[in-house]
Order: sequence, then C-alpha cells, then structure tokens
Amino acid sequence: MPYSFIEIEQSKSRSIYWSLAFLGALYIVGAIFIVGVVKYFFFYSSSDSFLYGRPVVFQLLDASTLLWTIGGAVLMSAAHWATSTYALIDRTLQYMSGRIADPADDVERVFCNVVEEAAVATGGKYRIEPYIIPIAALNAFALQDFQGRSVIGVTEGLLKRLNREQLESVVAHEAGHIASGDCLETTVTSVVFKSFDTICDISRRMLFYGNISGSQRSSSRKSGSGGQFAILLLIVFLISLLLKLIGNLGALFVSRQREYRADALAVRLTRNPLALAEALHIIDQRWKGSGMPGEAMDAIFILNPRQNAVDDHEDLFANLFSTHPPIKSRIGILLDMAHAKAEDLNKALVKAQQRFTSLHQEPETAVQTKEFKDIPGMSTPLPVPVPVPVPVMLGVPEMPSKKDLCPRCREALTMEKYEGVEIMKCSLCQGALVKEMNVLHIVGTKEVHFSERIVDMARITREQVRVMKSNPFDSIYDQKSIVCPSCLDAEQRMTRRFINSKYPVEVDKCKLCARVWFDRDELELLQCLYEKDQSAIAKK
Amino acid sequence: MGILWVVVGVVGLVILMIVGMYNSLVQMRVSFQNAWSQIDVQLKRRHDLIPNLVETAKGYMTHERGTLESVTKARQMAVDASSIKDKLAAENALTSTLRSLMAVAENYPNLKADQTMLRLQEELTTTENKISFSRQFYNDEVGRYNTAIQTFPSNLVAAQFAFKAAEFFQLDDIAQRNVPQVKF
Repeated sequence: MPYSFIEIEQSKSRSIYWSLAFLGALYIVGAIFIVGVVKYFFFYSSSDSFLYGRPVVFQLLDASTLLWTIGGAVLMSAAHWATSTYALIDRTLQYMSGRIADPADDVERVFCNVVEEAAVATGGKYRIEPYIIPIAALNAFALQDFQGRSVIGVTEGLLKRLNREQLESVVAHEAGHIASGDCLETTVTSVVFKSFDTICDISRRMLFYGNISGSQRSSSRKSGSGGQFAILLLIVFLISLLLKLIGNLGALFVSRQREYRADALAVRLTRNPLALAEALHIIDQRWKGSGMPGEAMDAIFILNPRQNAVDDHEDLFANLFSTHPPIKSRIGILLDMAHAKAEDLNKALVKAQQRFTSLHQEPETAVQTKEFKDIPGMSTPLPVPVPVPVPVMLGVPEMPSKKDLCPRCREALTMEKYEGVEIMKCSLCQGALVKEMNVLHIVGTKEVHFSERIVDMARITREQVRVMKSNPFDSIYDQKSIVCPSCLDAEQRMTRRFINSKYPVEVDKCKLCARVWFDRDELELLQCLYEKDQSAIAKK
Repeated sequence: MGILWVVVGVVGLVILMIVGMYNSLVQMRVSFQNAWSQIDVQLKRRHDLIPNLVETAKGYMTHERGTLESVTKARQMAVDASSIKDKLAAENALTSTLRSLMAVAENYPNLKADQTMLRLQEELTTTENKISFSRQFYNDEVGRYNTAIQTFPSNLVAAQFAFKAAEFFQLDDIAQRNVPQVKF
C-alpha cells in the first residue's frame, strides 16, 4: 500500500503498451490469414504441387508479399489505435449520452462538490469533470485520456439513491483509479477493443433491420441490389463477430486487482470503509445498467454492468477474463477495515434509513406550525439524496425460520390496507409484499401526491428509453434473489427483474405464489409512472 | 596519473549527488508550500461562508446570541492570524465553535428546513472536506520533506543549506476527520 498520492503517482504502471502490441499482433495475424486465403483461392490453381506437407497459408506468401502484408497490418492497427483514441472522452460520453452535472440543481451540486473534493485530495493535480448518465440504473465510472483530462461519471439512479457519505466513497473510489493511473489503461483498452463491438452491432442491425438505428422499417425499395449487399454485410458481420470475441481478450490487460486497490485508496481518502461497503451493496442489489450503451466498456465501471459476468468466481478463467473481483470479497475486505461485521453493515443501513425517515417526517409536522408558513420559500424542503435501505444478506441467516418475515431485515411483516387492498409491509425498510393480481388495483387507484424525488425518478425512468440501446427489459435478468416470505422455498427463490416491459421498475417476483416484493420507492415509482401516463393520455 | 583521474571522478560524482539532492529538497519544499496555499484557499472560503451562515441562523435562533457571537469572533481571529502557528490555533477554535453552532441548530427544525441554510450547510460541508483533504495532502508532502532532511545522506546537504523541518497541520482531535456534524 503506497504511502501517499505522490507515491501512487510515481508507481504508475504502463501496461497500455501491451494492449497496443496486442492490437498490432491481432492485425498482423489477421492480415496474413486473409491475404493467404485470397491468394489461395484466386491466384493458385490446383495444379500447383509444391503445397504438400506445409501449412498452406505460410507457404503461399513469399518474402515481399509477407513484408507488404505486415506493413499494411501495422499501418492499419496504428490507424485503428489513432481513430479510437482520438477525442476518446468526448466520444465515449456522447456514446453513453452523458451530460455535465449542473451546479444550479441542488442534488447535482452535491455531486459537483464531492468531485471537487476528490480533486483536492489528489493535490489539485487533476481537474476532474463531473458527468451524469441519464438512466435509472446504479453505476459509476471514471475516464482519463492521454492529455490528462479526467471525468468521473455517475448515473442518475445512483445520484438519487445514495446519501452524501456513500456518494463520497464512490467518487473517492473513482478518483483512486484516476490517481493510480489504471484509469488511463482501462479507458484506452476498453475504447480500442470496443470498436469491434460497435462494428458488430451496426452490421447486425443493418443486416436484420435494413438501417442503422435498428428500428423496423420496410426497405422494399432497394430490393434490387439488396442481395449482394446482404452477403457483404453477412461477411462483415461474421468477421466482426470473430473480432468481438478476440476483442474480449482486451479484458486480459485489465487486472481485477485494481478494483481492490481503488477501494483501498477510497478508504484512505474518506476514512469511511463502511460507507463504501454500503454503496457497493446497494449498487450490487440493483440494476447496474445492463443493456446501456456503455456496457461493452464494462472495465471502467465500479461494478460490472453486464448481466452474465463471471466476476463472482475465483477460478483461473475468471481471473483472466473478468474485470471485477467478487463483490462479496470486496465488501468483506471493507468490513474488515472497519473492524465491522455484516450485522454492523445492516445496522448502519437501518440507521441511515431511520435518519431518512426523520428527515422526511419533520418538515411535514413543521408545516403545521404557524410561523413556518409565514416565511416565504420554505414550503418545499431541499431534495436531498437519501439512502435506500437494503440490508446486507451476508450476516443474516439465509433461510428465514418462519413465515411473513421481511426478506431484507427479518422483521415481522404487518398486514396493512393500501389503496383498498391488503399488503404485507415491513415497518423498518418500508418494503411491501403484494399479490400480483392486486398490483394492478393499486396502480390503477389515483394517488394525489408523490414526493419530488419519486417524480424525478419517474422522469428518469421515462427518459432513459432515449439513451438505451434496447429496452432494458430485453437485456435484463432473471436473477435468483431472496426467499419468498410467503412460500419459503429456498430452492425456487424470487427473481429480480423489471415488472414489465413498459414500466422498467425493479421488483422481486415469486413464480410459485404469484407475489411481488417491492423495496421502498419501487411501488410508488410504479404508481407515479402509471399515473403520468394516464394524465398524458387524458390530455390528448 | 590514474589515481588523479579516479579522485577527479569521485569528486565530480559527489558534487553531482549534492546538486541532485539539493534540487530535490528545493522541489519538495516548493511542493509543500504549494500544498499550504491550497489549504489557505479553502480556509478563506470558509471565512467567506460564515457571515452568511450567521446571518441566516440569526433569523431563527433568537435565544442563541452568545453562540453566534462566539462564531463571529472566532472567525475574526482566524482572519487576523498571520503566522502559521497562530493560524492553526485560530482555525481549530473556529472549527469547534462551528461545531457547537451546528449542535445548537439541531434544536431548530425551521432552521434545518430553510433552503438557504441547507445550501450553506452543503457548502460548509464541502469546504470542511476540502480543508481536511488538502490538509492530508499537505501533511503527506511535509512528511516526505521532513523525512528527506533527516535521513542520510540528504540530511548533510539539508544542514549545510539550512533546510528547516516543516510543521504538520494538526488538529486537536486527530483520530477523526474533523468535520462539524452538519448532516442530520
């Protein structure tokens, strides 16, 4: 563990040139193969008898052709490198529809401040720009280019769900990547190998839908020349698919150790390992952004946004090809640093929850006092980022002992009337278990008031469609999560998923007893989304 | 003849080493002084925030004139302090009065809900954090410099050219990051 940021700075590694060399080698091998095949099929007749017993392709190239081929390949790989690293930050941010954080907005102001703090902590050496990705998923990333320009980005969902300490620790983690220099490596490696992914995507869309945007429009007009075009595209597609697979080898140059290092640096900075553990756990429990455009650059994120990641394994294959270490061991190390156990993390999260509740109840009672009303501009409290209480499962017994205990905090659920139907609610974490047939009823009942934060989250959930590559519903997940409090089947767990394709609200569904578990916010968010839709229809 | 060359070579090498050590010492000195100026910027910012904070709090805290006045006084002391030692003492005093102000503010729910107050608190939190981060950085730099002037062989060069040990920026309570509890 380096002593200070100056020493971290001095011990920067430069594995970036390894990935450059790898790219060059990739092009050379590819070019020799292609030239060899072309020559074999078009310039040699079968009567050539000197081919026997030697690898065909190498025999086919004489010295000068080989030289030309290699020269061409090196030039091409240099061109690839140059184009993909040119203005790489701007293009990456544009690719992910990022926008710079606005200090005039109160929540984003906090984010700007936290990023500035991180810049101060590294000795003011880096000017770090705060960026926001407008999707409801939870994730954060850092980018750096050769000119030393640095960016820390978070998603809107993260900003709305973490409190200040947790946000500080996440930003400190990203600042740790920037200060230790591995951010430059991962950015460049991801960007260079991402191009294959993009080519693959575009050619597939053109092949199947006839246009780049991927929407289904009839393209019957150009059916005349379509045949040859399609064959060409098919070839491009197959080649790029191969390249994409090879490009995934870029992960070889990204060590999963650097996440541990960045975690350690974040703790050095904020002296608050518990907050980082909380943040990691909250992010891990949620939609991490699978299906978003930046997904191919998984190495730059604090947790892997991909759904099918191999991160949770410890074997050799996982060590080579995964970009992130297992989340449990990361949280475990952080808890050890805090001399805390998993129960302590539970307690901390519950405490954060109680603070959240007191924060949201007090202004309401204050409104009723007389003097409060007399002061102008006081009626709406500042929208503060608040914690979502999702207690950790590490320390809690996996299997609940009896029915109707909260799957998150193991408190007894209480029966409650909500919008005319009965639901089981946890008084501690505000989660609710609802029968699937009752969900429609709750959603259909008109709600008068939603908090500013819920309305904001609904807006983001609506608008993220613009940003996403595809409907998140398609790319997400049927991940086994909690044990259903009603049927207690440890084998057939509930699955974490979006409630339906139109309303991407994350819930846990039980397939056995058709019940849905809503964590805090989730039910309200669904109601708010539905209501916004209804009022939009009414206006028309 | 050969011996002469060896002597000349050794002397030349020693001179080069001394020059190198001298330069690196100067570089370290400049960099911790620079780090100090970073702290100074943040401290000034805190001084600028306090009058606003006191003004906003005054409207609600009618029974706490004493606390507010002590904050104003501590701020004035901190602004007037010139030597590093005075500054440290004054800033520490200011931090503790601010902390007690925030503790008292807990009792005023209306104040806690005030928009201006919330913004000021956020600004104060971030400034306190920046002070503590730049302090960490300054102390890292000072630690590096002090180590260099005390270890052999650079201590010989340091003693010759009068490089003096620098002072750490320490707060009373070192165990914790010293932020007044402005979160509630």
